[in-house]
Amino acid sequence: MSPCPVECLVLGLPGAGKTLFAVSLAGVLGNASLRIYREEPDGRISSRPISAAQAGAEALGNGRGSHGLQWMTISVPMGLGRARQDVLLIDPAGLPPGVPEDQPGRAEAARTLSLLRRARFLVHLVDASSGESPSELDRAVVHFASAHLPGRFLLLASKMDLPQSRGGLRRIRKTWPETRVIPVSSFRRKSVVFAGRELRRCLQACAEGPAGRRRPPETGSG
Amino acid sequence: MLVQFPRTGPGRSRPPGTALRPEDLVRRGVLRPSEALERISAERSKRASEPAALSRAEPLDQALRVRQILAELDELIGLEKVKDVVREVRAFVAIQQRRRVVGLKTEPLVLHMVFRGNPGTGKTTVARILGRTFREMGVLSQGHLLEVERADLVGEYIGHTAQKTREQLRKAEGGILFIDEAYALARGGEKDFGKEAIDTLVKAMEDMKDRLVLILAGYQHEMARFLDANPGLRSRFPIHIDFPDFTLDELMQIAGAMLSQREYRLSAEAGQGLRRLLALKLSEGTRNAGNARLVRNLIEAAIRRQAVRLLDQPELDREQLMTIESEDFGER
Repeated sequence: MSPCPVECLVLGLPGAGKTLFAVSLAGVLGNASLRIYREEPDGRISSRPISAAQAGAEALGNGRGSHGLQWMTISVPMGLGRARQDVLLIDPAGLPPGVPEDQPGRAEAARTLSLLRRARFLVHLVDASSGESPSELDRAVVHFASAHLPGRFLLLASKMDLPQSRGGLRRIRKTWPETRVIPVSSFRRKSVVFAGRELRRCLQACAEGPAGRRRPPETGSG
Repeated sequence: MLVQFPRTGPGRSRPPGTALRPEDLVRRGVLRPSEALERISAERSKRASEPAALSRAEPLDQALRVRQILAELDELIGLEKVKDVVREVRAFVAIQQRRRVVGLKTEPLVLHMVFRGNPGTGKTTVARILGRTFREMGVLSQGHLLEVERADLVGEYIGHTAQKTREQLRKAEGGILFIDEAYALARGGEKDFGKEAIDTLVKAMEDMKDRLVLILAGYQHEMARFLDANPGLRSRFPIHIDFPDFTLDELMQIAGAMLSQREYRLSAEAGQGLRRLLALKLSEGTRNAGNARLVRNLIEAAIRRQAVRLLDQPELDREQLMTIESEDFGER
């Protein structure tokens, strides 16, 4: 395990499937048991050991998004002959498209933006099954990442196991024709493995570049 | 409980002349997140200085590591007031660091502390957590805990004490020097070498204030008398934390956690037996009655007795190997 984890923010609208993707990613990268830390909106922090499979089942039961901030450290295999890289996977509350009506909701949105401002790596999920074009907020996130996190950004079209998601993927690709969009279903191991490989490619490219600033082959940003 | 820190918190208003960040405008319901993000993006594009300022602020992974350590603190049973004070200290340090980043005046970070309470009430555990928290926050370079007592500091001839004390200070540099039963330093009166150790410590508290946190610990009444007799010492410790004895319910929770960690469990009768035993100890009112060390000793003795009880049984299932019965606490 590397001593200094790289932090990676997993972002998306509420219900985009961030938590399920995060634990699925942890599982396919060989992290069978996890310790998930959770900060509630009132500031209380708790942690618990849990298997990736159990965490996935819980995330699935959460339905339309979880509140609070969660994080876990996962170990990413970097290839033969290389040490595994620890990645701090940060799963904040989803960013709502409009102004949240309640104060806790606004505070959570502000905290997620603050995390995004400081993120080193970003994975953004757009729900391909929603039946709508990507929202203004999705566009703002992709614009931000393209400008400030080149080569350190993955754009995922989520929920690709649902039949309506094919049309959604087309809409997402049409919105960002120059950005690579990775279709994933957190239920389908193969698609998550592929996203894990892309994350590893980003990590390798940044580690090899001068002070982690070398621009790797285009993956997420356009 | 005495804490001499300004109140800080996320809801406090920013200093005059400092513009609100887009995140703050979202918190106030003025901006939508997408609008705020566009502003953040524009700010980052315009202000070439921002990445440098960010690198001086608490990095994201560091902030979360601090939270992880604080989660360990939260998982400790009881100690609610202690936890509140630790959170205040952490918030104070974080806000002073952020004030420094934006060029505001900062309060000096004097973090020397006095811990008052009976043995086994969590003083050393909390000190260790503080050391790791301060290391993650960049306040201390190592964050280790060096636990010493009078014999480690006080020498046997003139000049020996200063030498011994300085040696311990050198070992503790970058971390926390935790002096248990600190009042013992003053027990010999004016002519005792303990006075020399106190003087050396006081000087080091000034000279090494950025590189060392000193914690004086001991029984509540003895510590109070010790500080009353040394008023110069009291004023140098801005943080005083009381560690109350654990209640009966808290002691039972501690027992449950200790057993669960070791993969043992209490039978219903054993649970009642342990409760009776602890209640008896509490009613005796000894200084060790309300502490976690007593529980640990009782549990470890019960585990040994369980082993003796089971040794000659030819067949044992998992349940039997895990279960502590009331007789294992010496009850029949």
